[in-house]
Amino acid sequence: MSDQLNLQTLLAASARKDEQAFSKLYSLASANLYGVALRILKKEAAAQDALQEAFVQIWHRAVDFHSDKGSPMAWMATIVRYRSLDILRKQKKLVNVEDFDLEQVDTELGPLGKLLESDMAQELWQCLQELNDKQRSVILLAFYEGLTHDELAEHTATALGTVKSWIRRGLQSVKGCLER
Amino acid sequence: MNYQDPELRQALAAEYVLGTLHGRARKRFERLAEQDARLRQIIASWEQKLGSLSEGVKPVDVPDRVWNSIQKRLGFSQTQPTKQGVIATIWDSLMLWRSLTTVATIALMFAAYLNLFAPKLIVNQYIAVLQTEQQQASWLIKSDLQNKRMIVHIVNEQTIPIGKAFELWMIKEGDKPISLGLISPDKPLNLPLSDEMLEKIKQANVMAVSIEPAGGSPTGQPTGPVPYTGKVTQI
Repeated sequence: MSDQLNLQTLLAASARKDEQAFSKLYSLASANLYGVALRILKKEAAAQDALQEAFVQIWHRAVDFHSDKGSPMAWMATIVRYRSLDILRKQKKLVNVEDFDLEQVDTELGPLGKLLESDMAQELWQCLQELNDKQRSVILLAFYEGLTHDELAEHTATALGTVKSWIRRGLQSVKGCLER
Repeated sequence: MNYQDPELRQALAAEYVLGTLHGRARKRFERLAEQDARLRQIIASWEQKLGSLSEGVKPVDVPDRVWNSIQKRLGFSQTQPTKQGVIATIWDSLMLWRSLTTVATIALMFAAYLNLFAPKLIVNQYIAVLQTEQQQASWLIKSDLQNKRMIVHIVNEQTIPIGKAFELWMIKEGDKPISLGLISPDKPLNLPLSDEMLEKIKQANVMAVSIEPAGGSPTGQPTGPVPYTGKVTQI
């Protein structure tokens, strides 16, 4: 499948300040990236702000993207996540952690999720399966919902130090697994 | 903290990317990375790894005003917002990422095959062969405009999780999918088509099958995975 290639071509054209290509890139990627921001921020207005900020940045930084930096979707999603996390932390409000059930972290893919996935995503999912449930859940909650160590500890009714070590060891194992 | 400790550098970079490094520690780490190219590489490597988790997140339709604001901020000559959102994404993925010629060829082969067993000369039919991503044909959907029937042939029996149903959709570029109802994974169907539906089928470019809760999509639009798609061809 050439989906990633297609996004790559559009990013490269955006780096040359091709407005048409950027518009096309937006139309292909924005719904997915909005989904990413919405999961972290929960509120539409805030998620739209994050998406807008991120696309302005993607336009300016498109020249920095190279295919050796991974999939274009992962690269753009990282920018969206950072903007979303900035906004989330500025809100200085604890997320309502009651909303999350650790046993049921939603890792379901959207209708075209599987089609959009890169090799890296597939390898990563496999490596995540090797972690124990708690390690995997806290990592996914932090990633998708933007929870902090404190919020994760509160939510899982676990000591802060334990949560931190689940995350640290979990990430170490993922790295080890990916390098195998 | 000793920021030269390789293990600590890895751990901090990973948590920076994950987002659990926050507040002053995050700012400090960002400043450190500005001065340290090797550290930026470690961060980039984690961004590449963890960032891929975002690829499968469910897409959500974005209001047009977001794109308008982006254009304004970047000083673009304002253009009409391009088609966006979940449906556009489905469309683009079909148009850009699939070999439709192959599908059309297979569709024609099937049509020829079926016509061998149909003594009458059949004209004015629209057919679609629904295939998996691996290009395995699953259903052949034949819309017979003369007899106003839609016939669903089983090409390969599919299995469906308990409590789920296959829902058939037709999609015209730029429009929302229109449901053609539920179809069975293993039983052929022969259904009447209204004039209104016939007109829509004529204009449809693609048919697709999504996996929905038993009883069909609760929203009137595909809500589950879309594992089967096929181009509509007139024969």
